[in-house]
Amino acid sequence: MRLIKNKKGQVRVIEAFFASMLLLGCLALIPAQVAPRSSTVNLVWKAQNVLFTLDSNGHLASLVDNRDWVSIKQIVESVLPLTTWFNLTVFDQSQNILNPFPISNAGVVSGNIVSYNYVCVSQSSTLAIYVLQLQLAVID
Amino acid sequence: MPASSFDTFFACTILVAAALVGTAFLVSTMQARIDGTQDINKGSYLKAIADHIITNPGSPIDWGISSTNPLDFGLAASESTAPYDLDVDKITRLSNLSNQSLSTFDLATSAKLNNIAFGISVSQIMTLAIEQTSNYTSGNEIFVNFTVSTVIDSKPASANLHCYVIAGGYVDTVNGSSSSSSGVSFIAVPVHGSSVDNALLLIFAQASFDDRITSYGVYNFADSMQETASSQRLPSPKDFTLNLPANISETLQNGYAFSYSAEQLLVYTHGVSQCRLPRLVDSSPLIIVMCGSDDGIPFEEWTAYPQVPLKTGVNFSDQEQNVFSYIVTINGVLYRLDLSLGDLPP
Repeated sequence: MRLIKNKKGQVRVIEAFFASMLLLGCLALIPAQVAPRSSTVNLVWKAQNVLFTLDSNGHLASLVDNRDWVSIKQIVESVLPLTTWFNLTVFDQSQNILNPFPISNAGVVSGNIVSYNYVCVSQSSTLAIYVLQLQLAVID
Repeated sequence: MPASSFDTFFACTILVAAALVGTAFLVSTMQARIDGTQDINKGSYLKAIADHIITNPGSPIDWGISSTNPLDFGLAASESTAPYDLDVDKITRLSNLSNQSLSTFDLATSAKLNNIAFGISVSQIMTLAIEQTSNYTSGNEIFVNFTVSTVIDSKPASANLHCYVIAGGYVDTVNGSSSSSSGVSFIAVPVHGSSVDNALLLIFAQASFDDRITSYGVYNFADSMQETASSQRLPSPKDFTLNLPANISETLQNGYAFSYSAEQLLVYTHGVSQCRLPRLVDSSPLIIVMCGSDDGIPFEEWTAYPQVPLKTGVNFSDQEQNVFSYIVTINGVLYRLDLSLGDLPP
């Protein structure tokens, strides 16, 4: 009877319960702050390698000069693995999109998409500057 | 025992239990994060090594044309300002068909990777499959029909073909035909009836959308099959020079250099051990065919410059393999290079 009437300790139990809930809640949030996955980093490297190599001797810029979007799509597609989704967007100096249709090998993909911007200069007499934005993702 | 002490003991027990559970949870969570960070650090470290090899010319910068091993291993062309542009002679020295081939030990030593397994493979972007389908005789000539498939990464690719038939010391060019979007072409090759047993068919395929994607394939009529590697008797060229071994130079009669759009008769002096190769301007691998006669039996030996496809280094059959894949240019032609590195030492 005396135990039932004495309710001072219940506050401490509730405190302990809330403290433990707070502690567990904080710990549960830790995994959300993960570092970038290595596959994402690899895709950035891959985008950089592809654009640098394909534009050797200003080749990509000359294709953009000629608005040869089909050839650009084919060559990017040929050097990327089948399991890699890509979407290339070409901008001019004023950030206007130049390609009239998406330069891509598939529709929409789920998962992490990385983006890499590459600036190339036309070697023609017009001296145009283009920004090529290559987005990559791994198709599951 | 007073009720408040019991409650306090109960509360403390819950707190201690929560602390223990929380600590265990924290340890497992942090361990997973530490492992993840270590993986990223390892990946970045190995990628930096791979990048260094691909973008650095090494030391001495012209080790590809020297006969000594490099002090520092790097494959980039020394005179090039473009990244991922590799030196043809450095790539050629990786092949075991080169006179100055680098062994796996030499590779590890010069790359200073004594504790990390290391391997390199270089392949053509577009692969050719040559298959003989039928043949028929017309006069003194035999017409052999072939199906040629051009594939990029398992997908059919449209390409233009240039074919050369080398037989009995003569060369015949077959008009280039464009394969359809299915990647399949049909060609008919005429060969003299007397030369068909020692003839070679050399096919260059150039992607219709980019001339830097140019590949080659060689078909041997004697074996009725496509060859996967060049002749063992003919070493790889170095610095656009073919160094002929003594046992073959005496038997040679003439030689040719072929690219996608050009062929050239080599200036070759009988019995001389060296033969200069032309620097053909088109974006194409160079194939050298030497024709000769051995005890009255004609033969053709061929080699490629650069010596691609190639694979060198450690065999990763039963150990961790971290592959870094690059698209590179060698003499203006695009190739796929896979650089494999093993696990870091503990």
